[in-house]
Amino acid sequence: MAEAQHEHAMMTNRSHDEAERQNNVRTLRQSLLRKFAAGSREMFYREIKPGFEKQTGKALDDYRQIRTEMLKNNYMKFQMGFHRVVQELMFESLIPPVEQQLPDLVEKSKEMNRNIGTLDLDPDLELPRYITAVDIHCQPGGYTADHRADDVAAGAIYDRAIHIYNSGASGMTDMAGRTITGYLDAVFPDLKPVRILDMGCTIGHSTAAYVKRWPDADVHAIDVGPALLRYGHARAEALGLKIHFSQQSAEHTKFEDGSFDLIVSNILAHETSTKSWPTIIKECHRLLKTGGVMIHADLPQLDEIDPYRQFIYTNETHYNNEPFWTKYRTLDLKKIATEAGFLPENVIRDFSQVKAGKDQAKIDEAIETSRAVGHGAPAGSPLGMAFIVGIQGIGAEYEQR
Amino acid sequence: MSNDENVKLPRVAKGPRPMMFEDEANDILLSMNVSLLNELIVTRQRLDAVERLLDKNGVLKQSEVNAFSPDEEAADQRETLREDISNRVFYLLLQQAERAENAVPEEAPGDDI
Repeated sequence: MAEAQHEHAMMTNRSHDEAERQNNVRTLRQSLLRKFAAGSREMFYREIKPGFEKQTGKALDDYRQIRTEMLKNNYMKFQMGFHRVVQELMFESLIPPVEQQLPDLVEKSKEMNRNIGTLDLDPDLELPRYITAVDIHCQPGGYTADHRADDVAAGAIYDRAIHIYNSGASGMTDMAGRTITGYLDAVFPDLKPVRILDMGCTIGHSTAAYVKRWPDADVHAIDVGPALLRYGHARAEALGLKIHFSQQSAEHTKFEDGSFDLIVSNILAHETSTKSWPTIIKECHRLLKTGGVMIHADLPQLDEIDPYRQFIYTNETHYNNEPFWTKYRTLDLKKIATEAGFLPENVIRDFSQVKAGKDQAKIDEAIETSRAVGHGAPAGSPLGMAFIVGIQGIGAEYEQR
Repeated sequence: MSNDENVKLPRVAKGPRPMMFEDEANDILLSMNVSLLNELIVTRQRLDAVERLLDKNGVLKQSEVNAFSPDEEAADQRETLREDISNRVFYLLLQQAERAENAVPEEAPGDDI
């Protein structure tokens, strides 16, 4: 069920019609898109797949071929066209109030500083091309937009976008972070991180989950978008969350070696690139203390899902400005982590609800989370969020040295 | 970066805009339809808000709206309103039919006059 978004002092105000425009986009995503998705799945298994196999004598099990066959179908064309339009309408409904209130939002963000957390911007940071080449998720202006002095627009737009995008599944919008804390609690029950780093934090909505889970920890959050970070800092201050935001690239941070016990990222990986992702993993290896844990959550790799889901997942690359989405899902994540210095026995590929055991409520929550935060992930995806986990420098080989 | 307070935020996302149909007019029509649906729902919700506020402030009960039965004159006017709206939405198809009706008979192919 849709849950109202938790309002805080930094949020953009909305008139009745502005709010309804946004709420309706959320409803369209939640109701119509789900129905479309269920319908095309039925069509694939009942008509398109058997028809193709009967006609050609070949199996229809390659997601690229499935795409070709599915897009001969008007239903699928309408579904994909509708998907794109809803994404565009989401920003159409979000941007005007932010534009109108921007001077006030900027002033509010400056006054919001209650010295709970900190903000450290680096105007000289070179923005990664993989973040600036296209406007990811079709957010006009992109995540690194800096339209005026002390701009917060990109963050203000993003804050309400998360809730619409996640179909109102979490009022606090920290669900993706809670998926990770839930997993860590199950797999590393003794983990008591003193210093935590969240990479690619945007406005720190997921970071909130780590602050709540480990209130005594020193929580750092980095991103490359200045307006996201200004807004995120003001938002965290408004919510009383102690987070140290800084503008840094996850590839090369300013932190010293062995600075953290826990490094996390939430659906950041697929926004990077073939070249930068291994660099980011190397940076994690450098930044972790001995025994420290890195965990990166994303949607499953292609070899973890069936061909039809591969087709559905890879649609994101084509329709939602996600250039690296499909390519990321073909990378050998274990190999990359091992080459970055993690011992093979300390690298784990896993799924959120696998560790939820037989607790059906937890399994359902994990699946719902995966669907909600998982872009084009179909309802009832059996895997939940996929994790690549690395533990720094402990294990049999390490002991022998 | 500008220091101007009245910043115009971009509305178009950088990156290719994929079209689903061979004729992209269909994509444009789809986007218009979904926008129209969105605006219709917003208007319906606003009407709902007005009805609820009128009810709350004792001006008129929502049940009165539900129980409203137009007299003969009002019923005629409402019939016209319904037709007007459908005619506006289907104006292009209706125009095509009108053109056909007014076409000079000689131009109709295969018509043996």
